[in-house]
Amino acid sequence: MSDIKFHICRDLTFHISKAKRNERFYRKYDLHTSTFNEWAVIVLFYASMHYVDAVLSQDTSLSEELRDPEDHYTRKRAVSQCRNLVPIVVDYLTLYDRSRDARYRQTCFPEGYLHNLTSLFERVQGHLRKCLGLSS
Amino acid sequence: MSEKASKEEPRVLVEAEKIIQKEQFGKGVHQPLAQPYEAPFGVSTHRQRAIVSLPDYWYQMLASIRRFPQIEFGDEITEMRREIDTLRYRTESVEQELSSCKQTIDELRKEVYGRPSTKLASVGELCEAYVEIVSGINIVRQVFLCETNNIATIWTIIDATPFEDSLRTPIYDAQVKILSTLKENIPLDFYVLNVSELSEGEELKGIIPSNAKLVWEQ
Repeated sequence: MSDIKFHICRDLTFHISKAKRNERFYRKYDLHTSTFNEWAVIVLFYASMHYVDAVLSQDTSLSEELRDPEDHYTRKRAVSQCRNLVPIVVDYLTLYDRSRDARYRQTCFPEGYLHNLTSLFERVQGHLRKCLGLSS
Repeated sequence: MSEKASKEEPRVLVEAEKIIQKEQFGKGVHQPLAQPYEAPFGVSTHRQRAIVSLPDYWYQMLASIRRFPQIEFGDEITEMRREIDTLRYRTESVEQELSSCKQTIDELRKEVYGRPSTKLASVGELCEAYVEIVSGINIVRQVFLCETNNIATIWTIIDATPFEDSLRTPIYDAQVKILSTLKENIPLDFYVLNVSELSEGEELKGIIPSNAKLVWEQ
């Protein structure tokens, strides 16, 4: 099998569109009240991730590699070094770890916790949309 | 080769022919060539190269060069020797300058580029720096380092109230501190696991990769 990795450079519109789509999916299926609420955690993380990528793509002070990260560890480094993302960096790392819990472990998220995580997401989303000049 | 042709020919070609002769007939034995090597008629150059021996190949090259207009080949041997002497002199002066230089690489880089070089840190050093911070956080129980071919992951095992994310803030702050200092892309990731959140039947040793190395324990 080939070791060649393809990385498609994506733009601002793409990331915002993906983030919104994840949000719509979350709302449409009431994922936070679902029995399978681990998917709520995953969707919230990926929605934030796309908002984060959208902000990173606009930060000209970052290197090209950090503006368009191709993996999670590069993105984490970018988030830690992007001034606009300082207020939400801890929230983003929380969402990242929780999505790992949801994907790779048998974690049962209590319903009340999903409520808290949704509030955390809204804080992240609000800040990032403001950075991008989008209405909240 | 006729006397006339030899006189008209640049010295570099005569020298080249001598070298090829040595290669083919043994060191010190000079056997004059009757004619400059000519490619057999009707055989393509590509095909000949595939089948001829190495000296034959060079004869062929020499013949090709002889067919070029003579004006393009001056006697370059003296010129080349002069070039070599100049290069040797320059190398010696660079060596002298380097041996007398008292500046560090960082100082030199600062002088040339106006900024110091990025500090290269190993995963081990970064892990050590991280442990130094998180070992002072009371909910942290263990730190593991798991290295694979592609990525190193630092696992932080905590024992805290389940799903109380605010308790993790100092741990994430430590991660940000490490990540924000990285200048080069070191494949390093972090993961925090709360043992109080393990589901029924879930065991820590079944979750942590078997090759993970315990680097700190409370």
